[in-house]
Amino acid sequence: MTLRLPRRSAVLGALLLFAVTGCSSGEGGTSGGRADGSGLTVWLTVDARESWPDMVASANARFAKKHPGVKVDVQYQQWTTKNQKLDAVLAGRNVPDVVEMGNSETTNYIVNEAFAPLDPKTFERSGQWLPALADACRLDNRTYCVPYYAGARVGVYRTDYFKDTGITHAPRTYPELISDLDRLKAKYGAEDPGFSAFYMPGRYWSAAMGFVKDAGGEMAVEKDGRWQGALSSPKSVAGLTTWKKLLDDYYVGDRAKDNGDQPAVVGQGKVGVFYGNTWEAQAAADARSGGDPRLKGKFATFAFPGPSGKLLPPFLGGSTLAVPAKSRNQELAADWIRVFTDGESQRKLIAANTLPNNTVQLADVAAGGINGPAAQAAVRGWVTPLAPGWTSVEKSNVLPEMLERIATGKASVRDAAREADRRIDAVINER
Amino acid sequence: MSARKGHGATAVRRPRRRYDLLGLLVAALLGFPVYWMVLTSFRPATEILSLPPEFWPSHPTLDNFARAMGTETFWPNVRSSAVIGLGTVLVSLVVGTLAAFALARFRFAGRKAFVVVILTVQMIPLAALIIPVYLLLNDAGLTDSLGGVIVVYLVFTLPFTVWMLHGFIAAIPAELEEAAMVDGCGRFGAFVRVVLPLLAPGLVATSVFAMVQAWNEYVLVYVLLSTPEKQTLSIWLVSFQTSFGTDYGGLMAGATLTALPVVIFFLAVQRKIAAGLATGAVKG
Amino acid sequence: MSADPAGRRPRPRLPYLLIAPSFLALLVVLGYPLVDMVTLAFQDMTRKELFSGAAPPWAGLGQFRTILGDGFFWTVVARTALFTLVCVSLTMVLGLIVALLMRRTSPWVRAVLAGVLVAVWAMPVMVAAAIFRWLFDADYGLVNWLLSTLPGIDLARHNWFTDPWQGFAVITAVVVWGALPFAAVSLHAALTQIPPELEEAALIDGARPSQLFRYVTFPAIKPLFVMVTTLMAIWDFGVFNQIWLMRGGQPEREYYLLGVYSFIESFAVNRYSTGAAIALVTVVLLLAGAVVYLRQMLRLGEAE
Repeated sequence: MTLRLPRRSAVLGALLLFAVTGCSSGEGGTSGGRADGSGLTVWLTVDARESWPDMVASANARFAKKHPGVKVDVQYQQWTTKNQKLDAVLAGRNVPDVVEMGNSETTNYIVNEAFAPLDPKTFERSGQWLPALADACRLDNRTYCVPYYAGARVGVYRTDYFKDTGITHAPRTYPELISDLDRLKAKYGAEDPGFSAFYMPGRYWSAAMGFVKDAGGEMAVEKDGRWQGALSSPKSVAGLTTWKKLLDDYYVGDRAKDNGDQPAVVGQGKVGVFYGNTWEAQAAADARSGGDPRLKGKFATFAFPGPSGKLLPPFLGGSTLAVPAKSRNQELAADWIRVFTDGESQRKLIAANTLPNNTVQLADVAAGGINGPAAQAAVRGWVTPLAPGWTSVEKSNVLPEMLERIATGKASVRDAAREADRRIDAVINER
Repeated sequence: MSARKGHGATAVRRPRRRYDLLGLLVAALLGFPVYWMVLTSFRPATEILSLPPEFWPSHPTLDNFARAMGTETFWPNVRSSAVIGLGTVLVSLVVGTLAAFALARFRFAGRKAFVVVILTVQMIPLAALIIPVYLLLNDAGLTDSLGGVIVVYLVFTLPFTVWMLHGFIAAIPAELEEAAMVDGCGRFGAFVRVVLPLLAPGLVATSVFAMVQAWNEYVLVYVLLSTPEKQTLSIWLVSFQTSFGTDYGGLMAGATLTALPVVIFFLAVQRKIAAGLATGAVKG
Repeated sequence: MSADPAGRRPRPRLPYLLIAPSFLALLVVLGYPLVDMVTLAFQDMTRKELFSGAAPPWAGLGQFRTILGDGFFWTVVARTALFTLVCVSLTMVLGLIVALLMRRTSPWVRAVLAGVLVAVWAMPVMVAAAIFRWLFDADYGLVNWLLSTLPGIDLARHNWFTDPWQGFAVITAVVVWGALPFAAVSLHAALTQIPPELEEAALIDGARPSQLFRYVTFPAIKPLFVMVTTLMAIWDFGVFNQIWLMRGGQPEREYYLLGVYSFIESFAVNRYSTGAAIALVTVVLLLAGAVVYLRQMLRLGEAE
């Protein structure tokens, strides 16, 4: 029986408390940090709980040794809803002491003075932080957050399909990739009209922008302190056109989709090659994310070659950690981040197939293993424009909508890009 | 259209069978997504997304339930949901019935204004209220407390409760109450012995509604509660949709577990009220 | 219906005592947030003011001028109105049919129907959206597969959301499916309140079933029918969750309804003031639309 009656006293108490406090200021709630300095509240996203819980536990243990008596309360947030909650909470008085922020989200919060400045020199390997993450933490030569981890996308292929088609090694150049895709398409596409030699859903913006970057294009550029969209520049359009051709030639799936359920679709077995994070190759063989366990061990990764002859520049996603300006335990919070991002913690991250926050340890990854190609590609990694209003651009789906229009043929590349630029211009300079 | 099909009292049997058939068809159609949910929750992960689909579990398994219930916070979250759900229902029914009775049986200055308020309150988009409501509770020291959530849910279920119950009370002839009052019951006595039993179906419908609202809401509660153990099942459910993809098996098992108490609640409430109806003895 | 003498009796204090708890709860819990929201709509609040607690600059009617002068906003309004009309009509008609049907079936079929209705009702919106999204998925959805088994139809990998009309058809299905139990159960509850003598008398008088429904049954449940319709209209006009979830938290502009629009402006674009202004305009529009009905409902409320 799952239903238990609430203790009547609880309900009554709540009403009473409510009647007493009413609108006036009562005692502070316990939502965020404790004012007395006896505890820290840390907001991490669910990735930590799912992929590297050991690292969290070990960092907390080491922190507890340093600060006995300080209770650390780690609360896990969903990416999709985290910022609504953060906005509401930051407007109040009881804020968390440490928050994890995606590297494309930080700028807007920093500009709006949500975070306390930190001294980078007191953090391990701060001189070698990945520029893509460190730049997202800086404003006017001050640092407001600490890089936590990074992720770079790579090519993932079905080893069994490659073998059966007689392809002996992963593609190293773009022409090689194209010829491999042709062979996959000829062999499997003929039998099954649902087979995609290359999986590239239409709204997969970070992949498409890789082609824009590879062609020398940009999403937005800064001119005299003002940002403006640059998707309709000739180079950007060239990149988008290459991307579209790849879709037309090798992708038969749904063009209005994003890459959200990529592992699940790939797990259906009708995909030869896809572009994604290393962990997606594992997720495609993991039932918990909709994948098929029978595919375990049938995926391998390769550094994705770009049409330009170099590696396709991957979007360097990643996370940073910041201390809200309203935190009452800023010193302790910074110290917790120090432990949580030290060399030991980063080693544990690497063990969980994630890229570390600094170039020194990145070299350790490149030595081999399934995440090696990601480390290789990360050197050419890029981030979204560090404009105050970029979060708005992302949240209002300008890029996916543009790509969907291109992919489905609703608009030409040029028209769709122009429209997107207009929408970018409208919000990109807003704080 | 269904009203036209009956052909008088002589041919009761045949039409009833036809209605039964139609009723089962409707039930099957409406219930299919629910069936799909339950079916999926018993399926091994490898089969879940397979096409062509299977409409019967060929290899039933409890793995999904084990995984879902194995979540650390499952039981605390069940408790939280129960406290918030039942708390909201109890308070809003008691408070709401009073107001509904006033609206249905009295004419007083400000009555229309109150009706307008009741209706208008429900028109406000939730999104615009998230931050102000959070700040209010923050000031009152009621964030991250189940009581705070109950109070907030109360104002979202109350307008509805008042509005619906007022409709149900209005449909009960006032003469019945008057007769009871003439028989020596006070107004309260008449209310308890006459109105309440007749109101029973309305109370069931309304309480299930309030329960469902409180049980399934997740936008506000996610912002208002931060301790993982205090959060509700609706937030717990969201965790099956990760950045890695959707764990359909786990999600559907979790959803089945989440929906079950509401169905049980409905059955319990219905039985209780059916019993009350019998003892209340309006006409006997 | 005759005037109720009990209601006319001067008892000035009792009704106020009865509504006092509800009124106070609404005032205390919603009063401040509402004032806050209205104020916000006349300001220009950014995250900076939100986080620091500093007073945002006043914008006067600026937000409203921007919104009302934007053609897109009016497209969204028209879309929302149409969506509401379709959803409410479907829900009420289907709900009434199911409720009437439940009166005519054998008790065990009624129990099955009631069970299914409550199970549907108990389904969290999030799960309902996930299931429908999955059923209509282009790559592994059941609906495409089923339809494709019909001769002459090939819907393999057909995406229902590329065309907003089809997409909204799916969303309407979720909304109506989710709201149907409430309508059916409430209407059925109202139907059971009708004294059986009333309908029996009419049958004995020789009324045909259609006449019976029109002149006896429907008038008896009309107050509740109107009330449920109103609530449906209010809820569907502000629909948010279903669209948000069906579009994976990233609805395209073709899928904006007022509720979604207000949310996006507040939390995605961080124009909290624009979001509040849209919310305010939504309420005003709903009130304007309700004025016609409101008069009728206020009268209804009086008829006892």
